[in-house]
Amino acid sequence: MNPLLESFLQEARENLKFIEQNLEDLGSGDDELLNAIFRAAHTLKGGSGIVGFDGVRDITHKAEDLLDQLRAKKLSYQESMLDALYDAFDEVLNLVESAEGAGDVVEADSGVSGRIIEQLDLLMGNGAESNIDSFTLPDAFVTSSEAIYNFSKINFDKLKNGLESEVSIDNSNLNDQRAYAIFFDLDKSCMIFGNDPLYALSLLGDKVKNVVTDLGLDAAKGIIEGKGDEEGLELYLKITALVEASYEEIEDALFNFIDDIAIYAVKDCDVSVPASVEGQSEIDEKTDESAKVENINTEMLNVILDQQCEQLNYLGDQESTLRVKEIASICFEAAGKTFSPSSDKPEAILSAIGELVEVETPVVEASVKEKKQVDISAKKVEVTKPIQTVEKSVSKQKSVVENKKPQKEVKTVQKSESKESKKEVVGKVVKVEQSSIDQLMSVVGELLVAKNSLPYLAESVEGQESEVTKRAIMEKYSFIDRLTSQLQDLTMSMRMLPLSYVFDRYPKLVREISKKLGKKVKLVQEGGDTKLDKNMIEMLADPLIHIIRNSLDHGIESPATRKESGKAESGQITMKAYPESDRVMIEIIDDGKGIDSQMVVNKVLEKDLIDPSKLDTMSDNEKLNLIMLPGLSTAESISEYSGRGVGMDVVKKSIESFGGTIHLESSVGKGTKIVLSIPVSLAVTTLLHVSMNDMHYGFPMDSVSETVKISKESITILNNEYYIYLRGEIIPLVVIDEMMDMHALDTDSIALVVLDVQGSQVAVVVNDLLGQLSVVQKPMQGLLSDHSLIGGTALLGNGQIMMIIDPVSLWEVSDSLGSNAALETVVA
Amino acid sequence: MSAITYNENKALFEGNVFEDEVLALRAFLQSKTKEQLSFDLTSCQDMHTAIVQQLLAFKTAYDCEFIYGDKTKTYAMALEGFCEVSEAVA
Repeated sequence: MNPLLESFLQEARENLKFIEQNLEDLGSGDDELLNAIFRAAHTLKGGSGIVGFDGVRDITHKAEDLLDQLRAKKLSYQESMLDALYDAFDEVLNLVESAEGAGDVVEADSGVSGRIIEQLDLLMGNGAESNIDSFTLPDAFVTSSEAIYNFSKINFDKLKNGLESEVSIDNSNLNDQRAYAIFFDLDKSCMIFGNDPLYALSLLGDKVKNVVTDLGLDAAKGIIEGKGDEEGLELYLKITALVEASYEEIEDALFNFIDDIAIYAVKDCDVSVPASVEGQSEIDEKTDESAKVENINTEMLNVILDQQCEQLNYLGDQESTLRVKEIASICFEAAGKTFSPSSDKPEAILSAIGELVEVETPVVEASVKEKKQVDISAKKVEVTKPIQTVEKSVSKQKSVVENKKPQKEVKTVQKSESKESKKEVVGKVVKVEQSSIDQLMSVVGELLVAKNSLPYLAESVEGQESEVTKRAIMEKYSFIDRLTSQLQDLTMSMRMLPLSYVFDRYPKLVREISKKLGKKVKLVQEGGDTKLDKNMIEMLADPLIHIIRNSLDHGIESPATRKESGKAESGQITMKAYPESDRVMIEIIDDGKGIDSQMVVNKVLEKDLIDPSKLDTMSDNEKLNLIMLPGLSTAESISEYSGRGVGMDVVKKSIESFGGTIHLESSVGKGTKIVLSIPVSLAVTTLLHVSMNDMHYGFPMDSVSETVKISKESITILNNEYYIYLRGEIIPLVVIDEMMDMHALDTDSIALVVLDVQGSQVAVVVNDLLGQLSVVQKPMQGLLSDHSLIGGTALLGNGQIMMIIDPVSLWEVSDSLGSNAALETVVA
Repeated sequence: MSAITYNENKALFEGNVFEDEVLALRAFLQSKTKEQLSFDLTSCQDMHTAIVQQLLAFKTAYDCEFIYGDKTKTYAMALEGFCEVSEAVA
């Protein structure tokens, strides 16, 4: 991607985030906030103009106009403005996201952007015909172009003082290509903060016609000495530029400096002169071929010729005289006249020029003066300036041609409903702090030392007692173990990103859906800075969208219903994130109508999704969580009872697929809380290492409640099911008979792993307990990718493969594992 | 790699000259206040304002010449359009 565009998109995200978070308070009367939102919109517009992102520029330009009128108190705040601005910035976000996906600027949907712009126009009281009549820009017209072309030799302040007061800019001249003088009045720290005024100016390309710089002697001395400016980045240079561009182009290029520049339009220098000035550049190369000039602006001729006179008046040397003669010939030819001075002497040339334009009778000073003695107040110019002026005239013509280049091809945004979930949440690049890299290097360095010590250890083994050797190896192991742990922690920390990456997508979603549903909903977000592994953030995006949609669609009531129930018309959804141990908890709380657990039970029974006898032992909350059973979630069911169910089984499956859990609490009439518990990272998993039939298996440690060894006598049969009593709790027993070595169980004590699965406990019989292990889990692939019990694999230190058992799947398929038959064998 | 090459009383500017070269340039200029310096800009694409400012500060007080490549570059215009005594007049 173009680095400039990439930089813009990143900045746009930040500005849009700021707008998103603060726009709601636009009508609060806080002028500072209004100004800040305006500045963010202004920056968006400027940046988009620079990168040629016209879709964003057009919308933000209009939104900026509205905000500007609000802050200038030309308009009073109305609720409808908020909607229009939200629509505008939502569409901008949409375009930014599309550009991120496409890696290039995209074209806006003209229908959508047209409607947004029209709406903003209407709010500003503008019809389609005139939309910015009242827009006033802080510029002024200089009464004579001559002043501008000579401004390099005029005291800048004097030039400014001679200007008229503010002038209204309207549709007829906002986009006009014309001459402007730009005066930079920059803070001396501006370069320290990364700004580069000349670079910004250069973004205007060949529209920059002249740059005049100015530096006092004292300032120059200070710059060279460098006293008090250790970095050499304090700015003392005064910069004034003459450009031929539209006001909008200038604003776009210099948007970073917009508060620190003054832009003055030059009244008589319309740059749309249809002249062809071929050959003029050759003058600079001192060729004899005369150039042809057609239809040149008379005013410009005056300026050029006047300057020739001043030059001769000041210099009067032979070389200058000849140059002036050449230039004058071209100007005369352009005016349809013949330039025929009586001689090549300066007086004769000036006299001949005077026939075309009114110039003061020159008084030639024959001696060439030292450049440093130039008297500015006397308007004496350097020898190169007139030539420059003609060169600029030439390049101006070139720019007119170049402006006709075909427009850059852009891709059109494809809008679709599913787009929301398809977009990449984070992107492929993760920023890493320098300190993390430094720490990483430090650990890698230590690891190298540890590695290099191993050959020495190997050499020293000979002749040593095995105990001594073992101790030495274990010492090295401990050292390397510490380093790999550090390495692991560092690597993990680099992948951690704030949840705001995913949270930031939801305000727009909430607004859009609530608008469609005719509901008023406020979204409150807390803990967006809680960090989570990048991959987890990616995987969380879709389940969270499902949950929020459900809350909006079926949780929050309509304003009228809420009013009837004594609630505020506007509902609230709160998204809260916080770390807890090695997990991150995410709560989605709404103050809607809640879910009636009895209605969930009725629906479950109606669909025959559960054995009715199991319901007897269930708490209200467990019944409520049956809403996440597969098969319950149909469109029909949601509208009939408390309003939950759409995709909740999908959400649950999705959350559990990356090691998370989901839990639901609800109170009828008050609202619903959904709690997600997400592992901080998936990259490294801690497992309980067990063996069954000489094969290695692992259970995720966060599901393991405890490990015990019990006697066969402790196993009890209830309703033909096998249970154990453990500290007063009745826990169902599961044997995966196909994996077990049943003969090995023929002992007095049986090893059990007690798992905590979704709030329920289950004890799994294993052959041997081998301890705890941190591994890098790999997903099952190929034919085994959909295995009902094994969630992944890991490589052990001895090269063997460990199969990782998914506790949730185990719980779900426990009935079909043939436990009872196997257990009969064990107990018998 | 540095975009400015110093060779006795000459400095060759190549490609884009960023602000991180300003201190090296200043050190060079400080050591050459009694010399006539030549700044070769024929291969210079772009130049940070801080670099332009250093060169113009030197030009204000000491002897130097600029050898330009493309004079339509903004930095070149800024160097060429230097109006060194305006403050004194003001």
